[in-house]
Order: sequence, then C-alpha cells, then structure tokens
Amino acid sequence: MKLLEDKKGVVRVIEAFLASMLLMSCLAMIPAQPRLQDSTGNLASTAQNVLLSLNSNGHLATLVDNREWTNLKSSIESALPLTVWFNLTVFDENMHVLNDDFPICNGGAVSNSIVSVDYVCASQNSTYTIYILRLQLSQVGTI
Amino acid sequence: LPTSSFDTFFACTIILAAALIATGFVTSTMQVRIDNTKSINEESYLQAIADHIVTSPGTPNNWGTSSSVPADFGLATSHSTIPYELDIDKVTRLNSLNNYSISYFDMEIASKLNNIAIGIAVSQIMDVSIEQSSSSITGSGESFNLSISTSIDSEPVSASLNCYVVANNYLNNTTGSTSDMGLGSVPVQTPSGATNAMVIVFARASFDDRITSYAIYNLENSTQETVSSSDFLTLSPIDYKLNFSTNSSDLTIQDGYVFSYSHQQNLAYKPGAMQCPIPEIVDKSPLVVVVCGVNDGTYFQEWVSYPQVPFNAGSDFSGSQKNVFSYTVTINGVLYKLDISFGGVAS
Repeated sequence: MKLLEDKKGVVRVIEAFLASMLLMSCLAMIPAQPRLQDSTGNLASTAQNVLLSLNSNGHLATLVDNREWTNLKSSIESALPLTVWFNLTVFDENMHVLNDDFPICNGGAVSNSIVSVDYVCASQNSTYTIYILRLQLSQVGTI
Repeated sequence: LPTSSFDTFFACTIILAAALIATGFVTSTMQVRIDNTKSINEESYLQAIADHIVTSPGTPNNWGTSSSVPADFGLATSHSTIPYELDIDKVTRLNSLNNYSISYFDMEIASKLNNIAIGIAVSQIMDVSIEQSSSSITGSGESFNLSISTSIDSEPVSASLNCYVVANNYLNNTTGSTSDMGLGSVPVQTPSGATNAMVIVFARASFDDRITSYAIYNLENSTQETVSSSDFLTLSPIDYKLNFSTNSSDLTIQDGYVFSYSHQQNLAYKPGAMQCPIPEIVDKSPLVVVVCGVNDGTYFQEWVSYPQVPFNAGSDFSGSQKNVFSYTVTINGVLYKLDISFGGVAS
C-alpha cells in the first residue's frame, strides 16, 4: 500500500520511457532513406544511349528542324521500354522551349525519381542551328 | 525494499529493453545499408562491363571477320564514327546457328568474367507479324492474301512494306503499307507448279527509315519462320561471304538471291563452290539471303539473314537473378535492340 502511494519514482520511469522512445524513433528513421542511386544511374545511361543512337546521323536534329514532333515522339518511344516514362523538351540556343504546344511524353510522371539528361545537337542544314534536347526519364513503379 | 530502488530497477529494465531493441534495429538497418551499397557497386560495375562490350571493338579489332577467338570481347565497329555502332560480323558470330559462332566459354573468357554469367540478345526494334487471311486458285497459279501487322513493344506503328515472293524459278515483289493501327494487307501470287514458296517481308517504320525489319512467311506450311532454315544446307554469312555446309552428298545449289528493303540482287555463285560473296547493298535494311537447290531430286530453299538477328546467346538465366542493360544500337545503318544480361556477382 505504501509502495503504491509513493509517486517519487514516476518521473524517472517516464524519463526513461521517453528517452527510449526517442532513441527508437531515431533508429527507425534510418532505413527510410531511399535507394535510388542504382536505378537513376542506369536511366541516365539509357537516356544518353537513346539520344546518341537516334541522332547518329542527325536524325533528331532534322526532325526538330521540320518541327515533326509526332515523329520525334515515335522515335523516342521506339527506343525506350514501356516501363519507362519519358518527357522530351526541345530548346533553342537561347533556351526557349520549341515544343511548347506539343508535349513529347508518354503520360504523366509516375515516380519521384526522375533523371534528366541534356543533349546538344546541331541541324544538318547550312544554318547549323543548335538545339538542346532535355530527356527526362523515370522508371514506372518506383517511388 | 525502498520504493526508489524499485523505481530505479524498473527504469533500468526499460532502458535495457530499449537498448536490446535498438541493437536489433541497428543490425537490420545496417545490413540493409550494406546490401544497398553492395548492390549499387555491383550495378555500376556490371554497367561498366556492358558499356565496354558495346563501345569497344575488342581485340583484335577485326575478330568478327575471321574464325579466331577474341582476346578481349567487344562488339563495336572499329574506327566507327557513329556512337553505339556494332560490327555486323561480330554480332553475327554470337548466333549459335552460324558455323563461325564463338562459344559461351570463349565469350566468358574474352569478357574477363570469371564467375558472372552473361547473356546477349539482339532483336529487331519493330516486330512484323504475318498471317494468311485467304487463298484461292487462279488460272495461272495460286493467290494469297497476307495480313501483316507491325508493332514496337506491342504498340502498333505504321510502316511501308516491300514483299518478295520466292519460289521454284519464280521471283516477284509487291509493295504495301500498314496503317496507324499497324495493320496492312498484301496480295501475293505464285505460279502453277511453284514449290516451297516463301514471302520475305521488309517493313520500314514511317517515322524513321533506320527502323527496318524483316520477316519470313512460308506459304506452303502457312507459318511464319523466325529461325533461319537449314534442313539441307547451313548458310553462314560472315565478312560479306556466304559459307555453305551440308551433310548431303547429292545436293546441288542452283541459285541464290540477296534481298533488302529496296533492292534485290542475284548471288554470284560458282557451281561447286562452298562459298560465294554477298553483295554490299547500300540500303538501311537487314539483308536476307535465299539459296535454292536440289537435294536428292527434291527442290529446296534455305534462307538466312545478315546480320543473323534475332538471337539469344549465352546464359538463359532460367530461375536465377539477372541484371539487364538495354541499348539501342546501329548495325549497318539499321537500329536494333541489344540486351546484355549478367548474373549475380558471387560473394
């Protein structure tokens, strides 16, 4: 009875409990770090490969020259697997967006992890117009 | 027992319990982090090997054109000015149906992979599917209607079609196209008495002429052939030469043709020779070579593509872990898909 009425040690217990909770919650935060580096590294490599291969003979620059956005979209689409989301933005040398009225993408972004690769190409005609192609990729299904 | 001692003991017990749980957390957390780091290292390590295979010509840099085994494995064309351009012969020598193919063991040794399984798959970017929708007998022979569909990753694409009909002493071609839905229809005719008639279909994507694919349809069996035929005669293209090998002693080669999307040409075959040159047709298209002959009184036609694509070389990774690295590559001006797969790195 005397033991139950004596409240002097309660603060210590609460203190110990709170300290342990603090410690545990800190530790629980550690595994929440996302593992993104491997997939993004792979996607960046894929983006570079796609742009370099497709523009091997100035094909992409020619499509931009002629503003053939549908064909440009089809070209990018043909080189990427269905599980990859993409968005291509075409800039001129002053970084003005050229395909403002025609988004070259395959739907909305489905992941927080998006890789962006910029690729500079020149048109094959006598003006050698410079274009910057920004290809953004994301793996469907990753958060 | 004083109350304060009891409280202290109780508090210590809670802290001890928390410490034990925390130790468990740390162990599992650190293990996940170690595994992640290992996986990241493994992925970048394998990516570097895959990049090396795609961008390096290997040693010797012309190993594709001879029957030698490379000392260092690489598929790129030597002195290429186009990024990600692969050598037609190096790729062809990965196909096990070619008499000059390199073995999996040689590929492993040349890749300097001691304990990692490797698999290489090359495929056409555009799939061409052929079905026979109808056939009828006419006065001059037989007439067929072929339904052709073209797709990339199961997505329909429009394409231009060029179809060659090859039969016994008969050669003809028909053009057509597939719609935005990827569907098209092409009528073909064969003359009376034509045997072993086959149709070679070339499809070229409307948005990029480098995406050109071929498909073979056997009119006699009403089937699409996905693997080159070698019932009587094995055809092995390498270094723009077609090599013949057969087990039959009573086989005579009569004719040979080479086809691309835009061109067709006869092979300069010399009777009795076991090799003949393949003309270097300037066209952004795979080549299909057809050889006709007679074996023991029976007419036959064998075909092979050059480059000898599609194929899967190396390990099939059935039921095991694999890391796949995909590339879009150029072979003789045509775009193909290349997948390089590696097994898990042994600990």
